[in-house]
Amino acid sequence: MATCKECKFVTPSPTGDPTTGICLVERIQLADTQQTNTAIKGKMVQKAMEACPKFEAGESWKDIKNLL
Amino acid sequence: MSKCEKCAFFFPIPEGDMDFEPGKGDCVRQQEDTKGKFWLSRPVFENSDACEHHRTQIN
Amino acid sequence: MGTTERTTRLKNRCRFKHVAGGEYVDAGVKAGVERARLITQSHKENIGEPNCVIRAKGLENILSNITVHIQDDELIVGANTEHPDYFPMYPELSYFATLDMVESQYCDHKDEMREITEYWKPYTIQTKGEKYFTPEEIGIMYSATTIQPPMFVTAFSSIVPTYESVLEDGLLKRIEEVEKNIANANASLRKSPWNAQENLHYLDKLDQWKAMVIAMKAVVGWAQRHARLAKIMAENFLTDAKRKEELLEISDICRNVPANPARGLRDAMQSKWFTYLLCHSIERYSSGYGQKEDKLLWPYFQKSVIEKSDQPMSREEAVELFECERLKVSEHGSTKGRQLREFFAGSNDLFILTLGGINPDGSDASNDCTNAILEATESIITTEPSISFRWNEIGNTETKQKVFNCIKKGFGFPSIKNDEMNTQQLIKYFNVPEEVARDWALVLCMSPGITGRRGTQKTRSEGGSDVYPAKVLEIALTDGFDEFFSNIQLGPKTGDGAEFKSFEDVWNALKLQLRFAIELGLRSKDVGRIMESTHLSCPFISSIDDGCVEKGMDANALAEVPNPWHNIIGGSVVVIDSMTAIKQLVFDEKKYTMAQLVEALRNNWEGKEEMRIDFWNAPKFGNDDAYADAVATKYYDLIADEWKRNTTYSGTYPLPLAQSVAGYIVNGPKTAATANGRHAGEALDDGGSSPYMGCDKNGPTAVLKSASKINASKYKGILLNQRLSTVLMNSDAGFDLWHAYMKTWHSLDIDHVQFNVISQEDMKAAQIEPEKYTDTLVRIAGYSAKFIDLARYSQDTIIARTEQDMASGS
Repeated sequence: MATCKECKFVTPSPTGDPTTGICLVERIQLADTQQTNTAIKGKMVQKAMEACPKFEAGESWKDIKNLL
Repeated sequence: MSKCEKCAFFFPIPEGDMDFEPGKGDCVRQQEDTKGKFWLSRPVFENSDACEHHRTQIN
Repeated sequence: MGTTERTTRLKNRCRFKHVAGGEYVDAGVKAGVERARLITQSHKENIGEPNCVIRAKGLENILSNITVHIQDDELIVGANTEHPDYFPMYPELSYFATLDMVESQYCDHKDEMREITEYWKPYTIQTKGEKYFTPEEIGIMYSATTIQPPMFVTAFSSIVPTYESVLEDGLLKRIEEVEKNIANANASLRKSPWNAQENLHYLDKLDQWKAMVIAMKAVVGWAQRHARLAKIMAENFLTDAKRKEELLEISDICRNVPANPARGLRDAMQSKWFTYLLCHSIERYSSGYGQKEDKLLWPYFQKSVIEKSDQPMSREEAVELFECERLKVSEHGSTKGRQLREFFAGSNDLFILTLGGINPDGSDASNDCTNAILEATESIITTEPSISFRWNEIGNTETKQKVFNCIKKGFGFPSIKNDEMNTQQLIKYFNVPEEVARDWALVLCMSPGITGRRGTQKTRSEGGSDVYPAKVLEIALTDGFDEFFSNIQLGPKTGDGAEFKSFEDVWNALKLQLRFAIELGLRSKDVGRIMESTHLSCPFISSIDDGCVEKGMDANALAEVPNPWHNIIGGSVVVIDSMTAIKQLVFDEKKYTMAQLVEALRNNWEGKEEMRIDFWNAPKFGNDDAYADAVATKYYDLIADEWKRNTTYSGTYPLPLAQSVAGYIVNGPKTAATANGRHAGEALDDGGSSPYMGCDKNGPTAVLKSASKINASKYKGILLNQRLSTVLMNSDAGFDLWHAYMKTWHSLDIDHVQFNVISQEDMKAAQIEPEKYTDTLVRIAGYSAKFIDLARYSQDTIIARTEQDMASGS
């Protein structure tokens, strides 16, 4: 079974802790009142967790434009 | 086996320099990549075995 | 482009090491292993020696054996790694940060580096520091939600090297001085009769002094290696007569400095660069480019450029040399922990030098060296190093015009700091003598500290680290628990916001959550300071500080001139606007209940768009609105009072510093919906008094008036970002309008301001065709970045900032 570790939406933890990561998959288009277009709902995850239905295999660093 | 001492890229360290040791020298090589040329120097000893970049001195 | 063919070539082939989202943008950037390998080898051979001696011998092994290199066209030589595309690794600092790098795509020597990383694990300051905290405290700190993870895991630090002592004395003289101290101590230890009280303190000092001598000799040897390489290149590899001559001069310079005093500007620039590399990047990693550069170089500029008595050169050659310096900094590779790489999106590291202000005698400190540095900055167009300009009323107009020239070109710098206010603060809060205070420079982006031969800031555990206020407010409404991001109890149980009955209840919960975050952050810094002092001695940094030499103390341990400060990063205005909306809509007008609000925030306003719009339209900071500004004043007074309750390592309380770097971007996705009408995951506010994106609608003067209501003298800094019209700034009236704006800014006693001058259209076009906008720079907050290097989410936050029209008169 795939885990968060293999998912392209999971970025490394801010400390470099190899067991945790930050999931950036949840992106929301914002209302016209707001000045920016997108909100990203981050989530701290354990990398060993079973992947969610939004899983896509890959590495987050390969798509820098979608990072923060 | 060739030794660094005989290499064209081996330059003995002058006596009086802080890191002088008998037989110690600088191995200086030129490199080039897409961004340009640069020259690298690392310490070696004259009796070290030659590396793949060895070029025999022509005297 | 550069003012000469050389600097144009150097710019075109510059090996930038910018990061975005914590990743290096250029594909060629790699992790160097030589530093890690050499310090490990030495550590294994010297275990059992005092820490300072182990560290000195580690430095000696690095400097004697690391591959040194010189690139074509360079006038300033020296680097921190074995290859111009690399950055170094520091296995002695943070186990996690090293492991993160070793397992990344940047490390090609994985097996060796894994072994090195595991070898160091028990010796790292991370392992040493963690044991003083509970697992729960570690969980809170490492989640990077309410506070920055401690320095012992981020491996982040900052320093202002005592460049003056190196340039003025040279290391050989300092070695003699230290050896004299050793001789005197040894004589005292052998005096009759034996007196333990008078002599036992010498034992540790002897170790420190011995370590300083080892370090300084190793540095002289390392410079000689560069001298030899330049000479060997000239005599054996190159045919171009002009370049051969340059290399022979470089060789002569590296023979002379830093061993001896600098003779002229070329010596000074080289000696300064060597010292920078050692203090910021070889002995240990520290961010920053803290120096009062025009003051530091002025004597040498006078000798070489004006009097032409030593190392004579034309003014054009001096400008070229300053351009070379900017490019050298641009390709310098820094190795921070991941969070800090994320916090400097689009940049390489925080490199900020300081110009302007006044001299110790009160005269204008802007001189022709200041002007030449600014001219080089204007021509070469690089994000690094950023510049802070000390705006003093007596500063000359010619230099201010050059500052304007850089700003109007859209660099985002110089950022402007209020000179009188920041000088007075050093005198008032930290008892710095006035003539010393007048030589201040920024330590990092925003915080002033002294420069000179002694007492400068040596570590970020003196000043630095962060609290994240928007997240703190979030958990103040959820009983201290983070439901949104980490599922951790991040703070004390201060109650469910749904049950708060008064505005004071909300305020009190915010205060208690802030208090917890501040105290945990300060404790982690001070524990880190002890770890640094006992396990991470810096004998070279100590050797160039007169105080450390005199006292025989390590630079981490000695706090000769206290300068404690602590960041409050991105989110202060979100808190102010949220509290304002809560006050108005829940407690004054009673249109909504706290229960409704907490529920709406928990559900990210889902199904409550009308309610969200009400909160979004509540009064906002930055519009000269008395209602919102009163909350801002109350909030900032609370912040200052809460920090004031504490006493840190240096024996006094820290001053808060409100700014954001890219923390306002990175922390957006960690922060749930907020009562200012912001959605979960939207970016936060970019600064300390920068209005929230799109919420400042009453013109630039209204922004200044709101900002002026915060008593800036109680803070180390409060960052204000403003975006100005490109058309107006580039018009004939541009300087006069800006100058008038700056006079208003100054008269209102505001601490800081910095500008983006770039049009919406250009930024949007750069998103579509980035290759056409390679020189487009933007101000993030505290530093500038190449726009095209930023991730899309970050770019959008810059586009979202309100463009102010200075000519509107409002």
